[in-house]
Amino acid sequence: MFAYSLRRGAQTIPALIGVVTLVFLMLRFLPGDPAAFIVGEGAGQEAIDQAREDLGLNKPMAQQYVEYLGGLVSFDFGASVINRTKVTTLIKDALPTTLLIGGLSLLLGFVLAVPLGALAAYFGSRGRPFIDQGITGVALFFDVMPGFWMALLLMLFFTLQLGWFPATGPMTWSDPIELSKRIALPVTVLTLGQVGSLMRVTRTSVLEVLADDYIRTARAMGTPEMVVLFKHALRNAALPIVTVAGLSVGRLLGGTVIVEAIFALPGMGTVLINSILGRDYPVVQGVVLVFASMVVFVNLATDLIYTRVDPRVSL
Amino acid sequence: MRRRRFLHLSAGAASAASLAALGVACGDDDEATGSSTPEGTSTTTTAGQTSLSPTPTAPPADLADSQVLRTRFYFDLLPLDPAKIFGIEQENTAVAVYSGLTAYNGKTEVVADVAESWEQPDGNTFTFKLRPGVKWQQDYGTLTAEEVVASYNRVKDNKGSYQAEFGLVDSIAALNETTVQFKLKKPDANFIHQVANYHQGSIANLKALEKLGDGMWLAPVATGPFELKDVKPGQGFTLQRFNDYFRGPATLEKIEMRTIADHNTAAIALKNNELDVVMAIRSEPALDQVARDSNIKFAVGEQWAISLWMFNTTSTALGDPRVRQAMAYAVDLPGSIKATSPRLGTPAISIVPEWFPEYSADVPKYGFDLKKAKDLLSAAGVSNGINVKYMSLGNPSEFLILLQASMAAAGIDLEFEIVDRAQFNSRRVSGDFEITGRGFPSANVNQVLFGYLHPDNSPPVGFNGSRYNNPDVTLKLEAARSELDSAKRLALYAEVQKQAMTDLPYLPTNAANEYWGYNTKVRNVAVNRMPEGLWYDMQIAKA
Repeated sequence: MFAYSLRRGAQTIPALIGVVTLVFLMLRFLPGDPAAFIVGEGAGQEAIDQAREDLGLNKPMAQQYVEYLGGLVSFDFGASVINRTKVTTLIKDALPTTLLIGGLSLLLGFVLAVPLGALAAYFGSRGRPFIDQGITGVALFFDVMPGFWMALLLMLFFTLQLGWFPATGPMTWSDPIELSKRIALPVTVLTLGQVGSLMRVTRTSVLEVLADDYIRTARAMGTPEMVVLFKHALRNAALPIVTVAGLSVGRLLGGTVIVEAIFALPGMGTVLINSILGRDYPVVQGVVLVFASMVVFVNLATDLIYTRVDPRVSL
Repeated sequence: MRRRRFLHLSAGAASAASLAALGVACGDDDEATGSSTPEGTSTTTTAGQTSLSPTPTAPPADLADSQVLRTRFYFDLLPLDPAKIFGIEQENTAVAVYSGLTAYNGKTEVVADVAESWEQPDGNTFTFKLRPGVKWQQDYGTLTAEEVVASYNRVKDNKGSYQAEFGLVDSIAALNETTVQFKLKKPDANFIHQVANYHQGSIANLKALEKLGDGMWLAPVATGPFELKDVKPGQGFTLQRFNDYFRGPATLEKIEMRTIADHNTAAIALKNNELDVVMAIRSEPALDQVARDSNIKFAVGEQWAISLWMFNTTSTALGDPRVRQAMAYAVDLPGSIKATSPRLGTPAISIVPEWFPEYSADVPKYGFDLKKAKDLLSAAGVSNGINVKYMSLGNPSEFLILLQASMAAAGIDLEFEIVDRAQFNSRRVSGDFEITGRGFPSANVNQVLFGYLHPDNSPPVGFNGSRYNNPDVTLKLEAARSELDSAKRLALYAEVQKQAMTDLPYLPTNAANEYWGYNTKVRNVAVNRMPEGLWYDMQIAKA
């Protein structure tokens, strides 16, 4: 187990270097000169050249890359070229918001989707397809509904009609009730976005297991149906569920970018969008690196969880 | 030596007259339209020049205890360096923070600011007398003439965006503690615009810059009514009342600028009383949504800029003026405005807004006429049709899509190239485009006409993105700028406009109107035609 963890952990390093390199190159090959953007329209070539020098963009790309990697080793991501704030400060300020709404959504999505998927499979296998199809249909509806549209609908209903939750406002960390109201709608949007795919995978996986001999044996021994379903069937159906849950983190992080923009949340997504629009290279690189690290480490965690769910994986 | 004193600015007077006329024409009545327009806020000083209003007064009992205004900002604030400020968002923040020697009031007239008066003893000299006791923010002492000179010289010698605005300035000198003198290389009838608190005219404390470095531009030391504080990327920033402001402290204690990128979210937040003011609502559906709420009114900056199609005259497809004219005939501008943006746009026939005193209606007019469009294309040798690319910042608007459809009927295939802001600016500067959009606010005809038409302003140093170069127009522009006789100057500007609309390097598509939505508990919300919000005058009444 320990050797497997080490081996699997070491594999994340090339993945991260790959991401860092890709982002570095993509930003530099994008059309449009960040220096021209920063100095503004109407400025002369001299001003643009000066800005390029200030940004270090006049150096050979290889030198820029080596300097950037050198900075990363010492956790120096540089500073925003727009507002001169250190990238680490920007990330430190924004990360809690994204972790909070992302983490809660992941958790709630899991808590909702897995039982619903299991129940849908159960009713499907017991000759009650309407309940199965109803649950699956609702999950599919939320799965295909674009997050930005759902966000606006929720705002119109829960903010304007009912007045329950605000659409915007500061993150009041010192007041949990206000904070809960502030994040209720974005978390709902992200959660519902998670439920669809996870619920369908759970349903399929559990449905397959429910046809196995040991389930029939358990039932024949008089084991209560819910124990059969949630203890025996779900446990053996867990591998694909864990896989999809791990993979859904990437989608979830993409969702936070949109949701944060719509609900004006000061998270990593907002920082990322602003920095992309402003061609703020150091910030884009820093934020993408953090996002990529999160995905890579969640995948690592998923792999390690496999070993608990199915010990054969560590062999 | 001929000595002249500017008692009243013809520009300001004409602006006020045209504004009043528009107000009548638009049925500008609160009851009828649910909107309000900028209120006049100018008073007359002993020197005879108008100035911004004194401290707003209201019965204290009538005001809310909390004078914190919650306002929507679009995205992250960019540094407010007067040599580089660009973008209406930044300009609307800078106007609350900086003073100039002059400023624009609610009627977009140039009025006195930290200069209490000025003289023009001869065509090439402007002498400004500073108000006594103007304080710098952050305990940087009292403003002196030397500091004003240093601030303006920095812009003049900086290779920033606005060096050209001081291009006619030969020297700037402090004659004594309170007197600043500009010597021009040539007369400039509109020079007082150049020292207004807009871009290069904003006065910054260079001692603070020396101490704080470039970081100062997100917390500048200036002399305006509010101090910029707590810039938090992704969250917003605060404009804190400056209690030693020379006209007296503003009623608002604080303006919280909250970053909300999405227009619909901002409209919902305004309706839900999470915001007090939403700047620049530029979507008709969002206007509709907000207009239905009886607690929300609008302040309108009418015709703040002419939106133009900028034809790249150096491109193969658009080098022939007949092709450009064909395009002008091929688009149904009034019909498209009416269909897509009846409040946000007004048809325009010139690159100069109607409210400018220099505006001339004696220009060629291009109505929607497909036959003329086709004839012109045939004459230009492209009778089989033509493909042109429009570089669009983000998705093309419904307005553009309608124009695309009407052009197709004339055999013009308009293709959209969708780019982001960095690419948009970069390609506009490099000339790697055929058509794109343009429009910038200004109350100074020289800035508009020189900016668009003078070859010295061809990118990367100026706004002549069409790379237009007509020597006759250039001569007339230079003559008009230096002509101090008002009638002769107007005649020259009229000729320039006529020629510009004949050669058509730019096609005016509409005059843009700026809508600010605000909760009715906020008073004195006004937007001039720059379009600047008059933050200093705003107050929050009891609910």
